[in-house]
Amino acid sequence: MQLAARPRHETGRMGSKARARDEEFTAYLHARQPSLLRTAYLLTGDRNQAEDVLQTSLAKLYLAWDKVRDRDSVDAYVRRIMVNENNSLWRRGWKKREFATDELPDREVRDAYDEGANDALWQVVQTLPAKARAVVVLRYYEQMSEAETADVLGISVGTVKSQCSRALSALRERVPADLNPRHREEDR
Amino acid sequence: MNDERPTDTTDPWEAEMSREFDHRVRHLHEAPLTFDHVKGKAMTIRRNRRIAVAGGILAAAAVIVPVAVLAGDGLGRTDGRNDFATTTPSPSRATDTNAPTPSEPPAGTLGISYLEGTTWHRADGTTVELAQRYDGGTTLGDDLLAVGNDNGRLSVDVIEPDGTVVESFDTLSYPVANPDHTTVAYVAPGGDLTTRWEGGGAAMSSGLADGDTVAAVTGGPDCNEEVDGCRVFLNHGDGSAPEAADSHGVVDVVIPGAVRINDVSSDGPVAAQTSFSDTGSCSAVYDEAAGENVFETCDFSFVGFAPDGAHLSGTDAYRDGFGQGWVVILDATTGDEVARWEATDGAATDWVWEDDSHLLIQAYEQGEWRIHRLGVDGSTEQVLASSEGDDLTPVFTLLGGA
Repeated sequence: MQLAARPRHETGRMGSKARARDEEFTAYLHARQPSLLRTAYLLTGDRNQAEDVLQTSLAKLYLAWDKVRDRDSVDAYVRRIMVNENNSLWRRGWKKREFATDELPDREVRDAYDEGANDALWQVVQTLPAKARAVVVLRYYEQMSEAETADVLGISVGTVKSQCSRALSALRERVPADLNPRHREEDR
Repeated sequence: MNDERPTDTTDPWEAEMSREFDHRVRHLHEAPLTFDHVKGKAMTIRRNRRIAVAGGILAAAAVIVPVAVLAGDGLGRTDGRNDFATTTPSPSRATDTNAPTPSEPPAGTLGISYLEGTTWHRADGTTVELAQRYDGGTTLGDDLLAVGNDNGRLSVDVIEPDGTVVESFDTLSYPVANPDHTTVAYVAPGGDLTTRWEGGGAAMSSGLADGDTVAAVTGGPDCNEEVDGCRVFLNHGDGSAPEAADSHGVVDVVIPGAVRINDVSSDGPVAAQTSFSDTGSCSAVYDEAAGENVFETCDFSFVGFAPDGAHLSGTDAYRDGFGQGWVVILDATTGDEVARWEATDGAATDWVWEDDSHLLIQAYEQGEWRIHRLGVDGSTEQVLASSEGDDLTPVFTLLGGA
């Protein structure tokens, strides 16, 4: 399918319009990329895949920028695309490591953070199906309500509830009992 | 609907998960992608999309899409339909260069497209003579997607309004269209859930089995997530719970406990069968957003929503083999019966909504095939009749659309 070349006299007007559009998108990119990368990392559990998912998602946002930027939340649109991209990774035959072995570039703060319990929790989260993982990331990292999570993912609230319930059940079953946060609370 | 945020909960595991996520990424502040990185990727995606459309290749989509009920699927045609074909499809389906031109339109009799033998009657009143009989089909825009059933092997001919077969493809299920017939979905050989619309198409999901069928499509026409998006509702041949696939790549159970999805309204409610036994069945209209039934009944089984979603066609909760002795129109919000048609020495085999207020019913009565029109106001009229064929070979095929 050939696209007709734009007439020369239209090029100048389109050039300035396109520049303004790109500047607006670049401003969004600078402002929101770190936050979106964090979400992408939690979705994928792998730094390289997170960047790949983020790049593809932002590219799709760019292609739809004229339609999306008037919406209330561009971030919600990008999150939805990221979830979808992550869901599709397995179809491309990507090998996902069971555990996140990538080192984060900065140091983790050692405070009352319990390495034992939370490493076990992280490992369980990474074994969740991609869809379930997306639900818990939006709920427990993005701190979205069930209704907001359902809206972003385009699923029902009932599905959000059931996915969270299954994830919590998996934690209760697979994290060692002595690392149960309820026990640690009682010990304090 | 729960609007509580996780910070409001007292469940220690929820709090622990929030804490763990925060700790995992709290020192990740990077922005590794430049504008050129993103724009370069965007241009690649755009080029790939154009190639797919121009080449007529269905591009694999990352998002999953919903389904629309195929006109004429009123009696579970997609799961065990009897083979009524009286002619076997010709081995060659090459474009017929001698395709006849459409005849002058007679006075219109039905407001939708339908087949009568080898004649395609379009909603605008024009007729097109086809090269062969077909076993079913639907319309996509101005085109006819005609389905042939050769001993269980399904194939589709895409036929333009001048009768030219422009494409043929195999399918594991009957194509189903969205309410305005701008998108269709079907299960392709190999198990891909495939959608198509004018100028494009996409594979929405994969891994489906022979026996899985499309129940309904909502949304469209372009099922790509960044355009229109759509949602395809699926019934599984192995009896597992019906699911919906949407443009975001999510495939999910639609109604916990449902046996089969009959139709989905353009407004959202889902008509589904919830149980069945040797003596009958129960059904419900389910509001997904609210997560609850609008109404339930064991008196009727459902077939399809009217285009505006205000009414729902149905019949007996106990389905007989050949056809149904009566057809009803129900109020889609209350389940109350508002109109009924009863056969005269025969049975109804198929029915399709003509518009918001009229249901077209095909029946075999007193030795002939008839089309009746039932209005939501209870009015009935016989519209067409034909003595061709026999009681196992419907003369008419109601398609819906243009």
